[in-house]
Amino acid sequence: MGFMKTHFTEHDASGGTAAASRPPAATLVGAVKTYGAGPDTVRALDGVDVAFDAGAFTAVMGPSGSGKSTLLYCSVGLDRLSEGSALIGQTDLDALDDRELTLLRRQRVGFVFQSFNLIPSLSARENITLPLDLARRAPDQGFFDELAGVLGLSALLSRRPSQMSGGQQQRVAVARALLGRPDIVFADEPTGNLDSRGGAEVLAFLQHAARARGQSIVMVTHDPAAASYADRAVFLRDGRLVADLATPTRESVLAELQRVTP
Amino acid sequence: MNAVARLSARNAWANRGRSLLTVAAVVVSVAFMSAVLMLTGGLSSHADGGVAAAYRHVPVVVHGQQILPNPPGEFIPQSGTALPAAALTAVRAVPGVSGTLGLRSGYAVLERADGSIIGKPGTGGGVGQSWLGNSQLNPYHLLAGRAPASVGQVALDRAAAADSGVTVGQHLTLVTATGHHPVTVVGIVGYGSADGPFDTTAVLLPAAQAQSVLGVTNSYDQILVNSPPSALPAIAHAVAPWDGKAATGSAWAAAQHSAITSALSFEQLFLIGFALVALLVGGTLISNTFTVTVAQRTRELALTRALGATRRQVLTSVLAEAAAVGLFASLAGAAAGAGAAALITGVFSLLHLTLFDTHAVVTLSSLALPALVGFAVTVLAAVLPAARAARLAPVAALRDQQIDESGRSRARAITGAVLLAAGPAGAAAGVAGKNTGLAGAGLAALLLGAVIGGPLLIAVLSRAVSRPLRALAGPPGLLSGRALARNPRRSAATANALLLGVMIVSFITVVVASVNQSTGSGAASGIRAQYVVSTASPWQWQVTGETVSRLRADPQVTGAAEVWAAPAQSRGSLVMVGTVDPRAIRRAWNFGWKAGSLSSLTGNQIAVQNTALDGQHVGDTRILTLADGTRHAVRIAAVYSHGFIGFDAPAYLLPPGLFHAHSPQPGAELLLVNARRAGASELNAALGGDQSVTVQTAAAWIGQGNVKVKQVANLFYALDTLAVLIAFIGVTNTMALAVRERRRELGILRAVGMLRTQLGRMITLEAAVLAGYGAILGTLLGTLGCWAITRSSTATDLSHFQLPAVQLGVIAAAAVAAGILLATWPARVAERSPVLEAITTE
Repeated sequence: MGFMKTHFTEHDASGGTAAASRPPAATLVGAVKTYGAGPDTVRALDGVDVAFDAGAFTAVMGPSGSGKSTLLYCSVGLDRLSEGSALIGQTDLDALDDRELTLLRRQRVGFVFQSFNLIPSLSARENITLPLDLARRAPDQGFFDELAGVLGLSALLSRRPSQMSGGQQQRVAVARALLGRPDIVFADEPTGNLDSRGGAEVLAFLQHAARARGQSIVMVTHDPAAASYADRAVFLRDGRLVADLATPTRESVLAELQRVTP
Repeated sequence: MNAVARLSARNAWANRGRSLLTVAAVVVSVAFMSAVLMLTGGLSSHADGGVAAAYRHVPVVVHGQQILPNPPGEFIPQSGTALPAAALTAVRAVPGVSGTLGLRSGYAVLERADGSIIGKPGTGGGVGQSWLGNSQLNPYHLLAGRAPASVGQVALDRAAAADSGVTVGQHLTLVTATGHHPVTVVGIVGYGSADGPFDTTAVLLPAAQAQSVLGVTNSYDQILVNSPPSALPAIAHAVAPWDGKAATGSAWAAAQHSAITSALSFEQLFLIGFALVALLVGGTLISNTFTVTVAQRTRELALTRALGATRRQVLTSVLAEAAAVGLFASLAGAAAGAGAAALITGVFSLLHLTLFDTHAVVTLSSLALPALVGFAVTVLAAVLPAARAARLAPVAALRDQQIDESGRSRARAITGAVLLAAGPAGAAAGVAGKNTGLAGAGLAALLLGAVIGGPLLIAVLSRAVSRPLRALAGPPGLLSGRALARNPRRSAATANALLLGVMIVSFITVVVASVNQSTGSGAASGIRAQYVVSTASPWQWQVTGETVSRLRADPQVTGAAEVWAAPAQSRGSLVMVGTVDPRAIRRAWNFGWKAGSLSSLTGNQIAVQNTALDGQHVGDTRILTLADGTRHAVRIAAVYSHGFIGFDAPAYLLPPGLFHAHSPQPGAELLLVNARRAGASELNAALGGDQSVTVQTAAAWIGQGNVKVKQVANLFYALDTLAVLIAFIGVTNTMALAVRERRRELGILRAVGMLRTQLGRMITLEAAVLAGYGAILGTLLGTLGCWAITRSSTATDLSHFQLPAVQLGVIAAAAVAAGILLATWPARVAERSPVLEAITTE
């Protein structure tokens, strides 16, 4: 894990300096998402306005049921808002049909899920290049090698997911999310199924990608330690944005969580 | 309800889509099995005709020598030589004999005024016999009316009377070798414990008239003797000069019974074979369904175990669930099978296609056996994987990625390879030894090998095609190949449904082509006559001399040539020999002589159809045993290539003198007619609407073939329809289940940017690969199966193996197309399933 030694040290030094002048990578305006009807209606998102800065690593936090995952899914068009709008860059997702949404996900968004990220029948290499393959785009070989090297995957590329540890699988998923240089990467509890060491590796790399390459990243997590790798943490409760913390640390996040948790 | 039971009930409800598909698979499979048993049951439902009871009170039966074996699948009641009147006198002279009755038999058919025939179509035909009075020796007994006593009176067996709605007092026409006779039905008789003799419509005539009306010589088929058993040797000695045999009534009845049984056993072999295949198909489909869902089930069970359920509790709950599903679905399936069989017979009768029997026979075994198989397979298919899962540590089973190693399993490879090698070896040995049973066993081994080795074959095939598929269709192509290789057992399960269907269809196609070849090769090039008069009945009713003279009397008719046929024995197996009038036949048939000609047929010189040469050549000598039991050394003097159509078509032409002297027949098999201007309907009119024969144009006759061939083919097509249906349902079902199993994976693919069209293409390509595998292997197995059966069988009807390559190609292509088409629904389900739901649920 060569990059960890070199980049861990930068952790507190470099700050969120990337291009603040760029327009936001993703935006939610007046976002409302309801499930069910009548008296049983659940408002998973209840009027959320948030902009995820380009080049920044943002953590979305909140207790269970606060609407974190709904926010993520609506932001990338995996789910549609009931009211309000979601934008990736300048593109309003509501105006896109399924095909256009799929193409947008393929070209402009990267995904890392909590688990079951990979296609079991494909090797690590094939999993990483899958979105580009689907788009029939050739991967940037130099960048591929760099990602594989930095993520410690070079020796594992021909393995199948079933032959890798959970941490290795998540790193493959991260490489897949980043390879196409998407406008924004969404990560849903990417370390939720990993031990602390494996989790730290993945988080350190995400942080590195944001700081060194200006990669916009939004990560949903409930873990204060994970959030401390981010440049910014926003807090949800009952579908509303209740707090916004710049340069979060484990302690400040914990304090904020205690404040917002009823 | 305890916690585990509640859990499994909840599980079943939560996965109701899966539960429904599983139930559907069991219902459809059981329905298939029972429909097949019901359809084929119509063939084998004949009882033994009550022969044992008919001869219970007959101490001794004297009969002529049995000359020819009954042909496979047929029972000829009168195939012994007749005994002259002198034999009866000799028996009477034996001390101890207190009474004798001579039974005369001959060809006889009852017709209504409109020409329609009395008796069940498809049975062995009509036999006229002399009424022997109210003696305990008489195998018939009066049930209603009175005994036929004077000219113009007849009695009819109750089975035929009931079938045709004939009542006492009805006026009918009796057709015998001597012509048409107006008669009145005065009595209804029973035969032993049955309503009528096996496979025959019996017409009883007054004893005094039997000889003249039936046109038989002064001879008897049987002499029924009342005597103490001790007189048997003396009776046997007395009739020895006429080659007569004597047996106790019970021994004779037992011999008849076994002749009937063995006659049935040939067709039953076919039917049992098909029923076994049906059970196999149904059982495979059910276990496939469980195979496909095994990963999901394993996870559920592991979760239950992790939550503290004991192994025993888990297994009990699975067993209970499977038993409930199996019981319900099996019973529903058996009921649906009755419906399906009725539907098929209904559709066939609507299309005027005759099956052997006009109705499907619902018996307890046709309902219970499939239900039992369905139930057992369901329970086993559910419980075996559950037992395996219960053995695993809960955590191991819970792990997200279950690896299907069946594509690499050594035990599977060895078992599969052994069976795949032993199967063809057994089939070949069966062919070499003319042992159909051995050949059948070989085929069963081969099929089992294909099923067991399937996952390996699929794994190898998928690996081989994933690169070409990628080149062809990009990433969806690669993914489809990989997905197949990763789940070889699931893939094989899907492919097997199609494999079995294609196997059955191609088997039947080859059988029908082979039977047609065996029974009608060259007829199309041979026919020169404009019309063909043949018997309306599939079995033995013949074109009588009266019909021939009526046609010859018609001024429109310019020529009529009779084609005669009779059974004979050659080299231990039954063959059909025949003869023609050399002058009349010239304008009616072109034999396509390969050697010699019609004029070669003199003395003991015969002509042989080229397909029946069996390695012999012109000039070779062959021994033929003709119908009267005489043996003749005949010389092959001519060879022809254009034979007649039909199961009973002769493949040996004898000189007319030789044939008629030793194979007396009541009428000709076929009549080939040329006429001026007249059409088939005019010729029918000339026959006075006699429906015991049909007049067809030459083209129609060629097209339709022989009625019996047609019936066999129709039955096969009915079974075919069922097989195709079950294969289609099976394929769709397993694909839909497979898509459900892969929801998560498909969701990820969509999330990272796979378009719906790409996803659809991926599923379609998977289906195409599986369909191709199933189609090719199915065609191979079906063709090999038919080859082994025809080559190992000694039946004349299956003497040729014909490979209809074009048809088989069409079938294979259609199967691939169908497989792809059937994937559209599962593919659509996959395309439409919401991405989010797929990735957030498991």
